[in-house]
Amino acid sequence: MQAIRTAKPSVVNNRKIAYSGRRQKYWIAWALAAPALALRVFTTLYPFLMTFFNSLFNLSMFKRNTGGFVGFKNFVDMFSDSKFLKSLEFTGIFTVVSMVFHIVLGIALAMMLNQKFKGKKLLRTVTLLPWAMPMVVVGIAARWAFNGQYGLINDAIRWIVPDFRYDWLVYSNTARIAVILVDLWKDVPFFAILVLSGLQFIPADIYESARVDGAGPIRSFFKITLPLITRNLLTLTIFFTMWRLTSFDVVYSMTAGGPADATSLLAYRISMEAFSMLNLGYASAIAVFLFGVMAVLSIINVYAISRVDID
Amino acid sequence: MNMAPALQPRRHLARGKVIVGIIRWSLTALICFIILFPLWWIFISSITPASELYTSPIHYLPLNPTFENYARALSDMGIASKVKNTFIITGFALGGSILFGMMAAYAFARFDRKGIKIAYLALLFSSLIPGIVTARTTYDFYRTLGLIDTYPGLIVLYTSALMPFSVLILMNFVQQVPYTIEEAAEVDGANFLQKLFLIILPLMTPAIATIAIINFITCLNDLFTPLFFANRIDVLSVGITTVPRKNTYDVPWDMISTIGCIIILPIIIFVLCFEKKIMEGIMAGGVKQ
Repeated sequence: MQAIRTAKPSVVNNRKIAYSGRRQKYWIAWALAAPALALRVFTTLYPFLMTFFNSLFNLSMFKRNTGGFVGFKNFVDMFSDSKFLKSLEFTGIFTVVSMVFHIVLGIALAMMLNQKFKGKKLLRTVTLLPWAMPMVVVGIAARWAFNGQYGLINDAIRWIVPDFRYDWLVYSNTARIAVILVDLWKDVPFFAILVLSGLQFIPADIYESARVDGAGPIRSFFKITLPLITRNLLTLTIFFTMWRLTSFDVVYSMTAGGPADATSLLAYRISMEAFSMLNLGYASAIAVFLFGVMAVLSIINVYAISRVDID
Repeated sequence: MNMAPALQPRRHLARGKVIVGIIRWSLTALICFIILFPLWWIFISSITPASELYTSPIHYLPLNPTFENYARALSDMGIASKVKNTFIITGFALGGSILFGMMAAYAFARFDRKGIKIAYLALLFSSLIPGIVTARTTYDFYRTLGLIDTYPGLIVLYTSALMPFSVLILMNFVQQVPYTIEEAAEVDGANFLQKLFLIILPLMTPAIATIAIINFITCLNDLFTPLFFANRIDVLSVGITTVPRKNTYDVPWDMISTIGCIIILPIIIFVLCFEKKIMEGIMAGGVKQ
């Protein structure tokens, strides 16, 4: 560690030596990277291309003339499939609502974590816990926590409102709210930790001089903090949005997509089509659609980041 | 008359500090409550006898704590074999991700040619392809190869999932190891593999520890891979979903909370022990993203 630390300033220099030198043969690089690359090619790249291919075929185990080429029929069919549309609707709501709260609560919690006070270490350790918890355990516990009779949530509400009883997961709207709440419990702390890593780069004397110039805490938040972490936030937002769009564990363990498909996120829908109904072509089409949405959002986000960089 | 104005603002400041302190500590208490209370509830549920569990209000300090549920989990639920499977798969996946990740990280950090740069970017971007998009085709591909429900098949999937993050972090660290150290080793007659494993690897221990800790948690939390690619090889994360139940709305909470605790207690202890390392790792990854 000592060696690494003392070497830091000359890193650029050292790299140059390494790069320019003909000391090491180029094939060694490929030989070293081969196992890692091969793993990714076999488990991700190849199946990914096959998904594209499959999406153009009728591969349904229970229907006739399976295996036939159908062009974009699977994609057209999606938009008259009420189950798919319901999934699409909830995936949209889930992603947008969850991300808004991620950003607002995440920044607030990150500011808390960045405070210099005695509780700092305790707070950071506690904040780390939800991230480390398996979503399946959280989800399955949440299924019981939202139970009307014996659940934790209703019991806690009863401290304030006596005799409160509500079966959250039985009704569509409250089931959706419950799913989003669980998602926030699990991931906002993680988001906050990553925002914190951006906050730590802001030197304290900027705030000091802003204070001398008469800027209050609210003003210095909007004029100093927010602009300085915008780039970091945009990058985080893209990753967290992608994770929301492909969330699976939370609804699998908590609601099984119910009631009446109200909480079946797209990822859950795909898994049902692919592994239960065995509509492989159709499932692939939804998967390709989902990937397309993600790609478009990523491009928009990269564009936004490049705009921030120009400013 | 002269003293008063000087004292006034100071007293004002002191009171401000107290208020800020109160706000800080009450917010801290609120955050801790929101995060810890559900976890506490899972724990006390696991040591509450089933007869008391299905009552309201909830006793947050159990009246008759018992470890009966844990005994049942061991005898009826086959927890031991789930733990064994989880550790076999996680162990190999950790080893594989560190060994192959280290090799790839060295290649990406020390060679500056177009081809290898593109390979590096491709490796990173492949992590953006979501598992659900490739799940079914991977399954079919695996079935052709006879890898479904086998240890090697699962280990390959776990290792592959860990690869992009591991390479990203390890590469940052290799770049910080000065090349002159390698040159000195060469002068002393070290061959390439000796250099990589006897010189670089020991210098990377802190980075490897960080990766191992984070990857360990990732492996334990993985539901997706074992759910779709294993049937007989039962791991803990899937095990909690297969607790026998009467119908879809029935939750055998006594057993589920117990298995939940068996999974999360070690993780909590782990986080308490390695809080600093985990933070470092997450932030290193976060900044680079």
